[in-house]
Amino acid sequence: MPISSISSTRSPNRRWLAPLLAAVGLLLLLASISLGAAPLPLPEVVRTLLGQAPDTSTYNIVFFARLPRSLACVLAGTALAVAGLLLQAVLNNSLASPGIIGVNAGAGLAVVLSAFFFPGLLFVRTLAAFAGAFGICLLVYAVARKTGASRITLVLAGVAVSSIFTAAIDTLVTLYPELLMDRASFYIGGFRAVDWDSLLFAGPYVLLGLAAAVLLAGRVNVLILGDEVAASLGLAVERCRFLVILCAAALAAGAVCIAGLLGFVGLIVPHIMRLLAGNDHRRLVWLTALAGADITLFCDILARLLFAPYEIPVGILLSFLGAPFFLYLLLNRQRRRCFD
Amino acid sequence: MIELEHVSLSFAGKPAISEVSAVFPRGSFTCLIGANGCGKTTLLKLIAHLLKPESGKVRFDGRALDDWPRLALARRLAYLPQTRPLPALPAYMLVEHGRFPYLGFAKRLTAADHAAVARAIGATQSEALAEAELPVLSGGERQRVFLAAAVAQETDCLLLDEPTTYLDTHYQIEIMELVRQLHQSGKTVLMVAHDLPQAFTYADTVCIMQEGRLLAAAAPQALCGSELLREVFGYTLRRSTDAGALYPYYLSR
Repeated sequence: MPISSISSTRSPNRRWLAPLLAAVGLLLLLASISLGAAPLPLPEVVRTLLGQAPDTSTYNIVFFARLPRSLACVLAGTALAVAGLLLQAVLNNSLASPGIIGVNAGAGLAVVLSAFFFPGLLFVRTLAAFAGAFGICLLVYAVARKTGASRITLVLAGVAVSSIFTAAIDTLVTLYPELLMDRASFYIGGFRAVDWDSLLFAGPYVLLGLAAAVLLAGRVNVLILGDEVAASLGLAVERCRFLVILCAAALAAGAVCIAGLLGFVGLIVPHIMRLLAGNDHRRLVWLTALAGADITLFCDILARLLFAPYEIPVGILLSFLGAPFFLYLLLNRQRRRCFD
Repeated sequence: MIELEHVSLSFAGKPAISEVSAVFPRGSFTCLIGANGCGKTTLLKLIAHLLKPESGKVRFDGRALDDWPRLALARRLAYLPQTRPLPALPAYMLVEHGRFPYLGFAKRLTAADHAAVARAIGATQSEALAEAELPVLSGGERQRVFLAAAVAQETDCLLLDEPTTYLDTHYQIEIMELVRQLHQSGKTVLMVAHDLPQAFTYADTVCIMQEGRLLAAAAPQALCGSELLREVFGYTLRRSTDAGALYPYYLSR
């Protein structure tokens, strides 16, 4: 094969994926603002967003209920998906995700603890979530490194860690029920309790984490070649890994502060995107970010509509989607070999 | 030029490398041989700056490895470990990663980088493999593609850890011929070898190691038939008179 034909096929496949995901995301965002207990026609939604609300009740619904909730879906979905992508790369484990290795539970416990000690201080709450998430990430990484733990061992360790932290959360919440305003929403993951304040405090973690992920993506590409190859290519392996973990923790913490213990987004989205677009993290960061937002928006709309006027936490839907996928990954030996 | 000066390293109190001094001149082709666990790979990792000696110095071009900026060293010294993870990547992307030490902050490849990648793929005759994912390639094809990545790195020194282990004979020959070509194009090659006739055929210097010590470094002709080989390996090498022999050396009691 002549060299020229290699260069011509070199451009990564499925270039349309990112624009498509972005367009779908935009539509879902509008739908998410329009649909709900009191449906608003799309033109009205658009006009309200542009500052020409037909009446105050529409204005209030859009700006104080639907918009923050929809943005929360975007932020949390993006954050969890990208955090999952980073953790899978850095732990060299395709089963890793913030939910599965216990990072969400760690951040969750930190949130409940800070609600106990510093009630009402949202600033402290997000910072605590970040510290909790980061601590768990480092712990899991240390375990994986020290013991050379296999993929499955790491997952089981995550189950154990999650159980301990959820038990601690249970204890606190049972004794002090007022700590969590919406218990179901927090445990299963949901957006019912979202307001502008929580977005304002958690948003920066997500956005900074995302920006850092974009900057680190080229280095992550080399990191997955293994420590020795990466180091001989001139990568500062330990520093890079530390930064990637820090970044994943910031993203997971932001997501937990917004949506509670939302599972499976961080697992399935990176997998599907890797399958569709290949293993180039410079592309994958953007794709997982968009797809994470899309799938979360979609599930949240369904969660509101399925049993209307009752609303189910979005985490239930994501579990129905994600758990079978997780089982598939566990059982599919062929793929396992590809990723190990 | 690579210089080792009284280099020692131990793992958990057990000496792995003891007082090794050696010089590998520019343009040389050296094979490190010795029994399993004698410290060959450890020595190679010390030279690749993946391990740091407890005492002694490793120098590259007269400068201690610790004083080299990470990326500058990666532009001069390529290292191919024996075992490595195998991510699901198309081969050309792996070769592109060989350009990592040349990339700027954004880690994007320039036209010059793409040209270097194409050259590396051409030089290793791996055009037909470029689109294949690493896990589906055979052992020999993988080794070829990893060599292509090392070529794309455009270093003047190539450190190889048993590049032909686990390969069928014809793949071994292919890989070694490729390494010979790279050496002839001007690269310094330092290679851990496990196959004595092969090492003696391709190297211009053979280093014999035992229990972390460097016992001898000499031309293959000088070591051929020596008692030292017999002491270390239990057998020695002799020159073959068979004109059709794959390797002009054979193992002998």
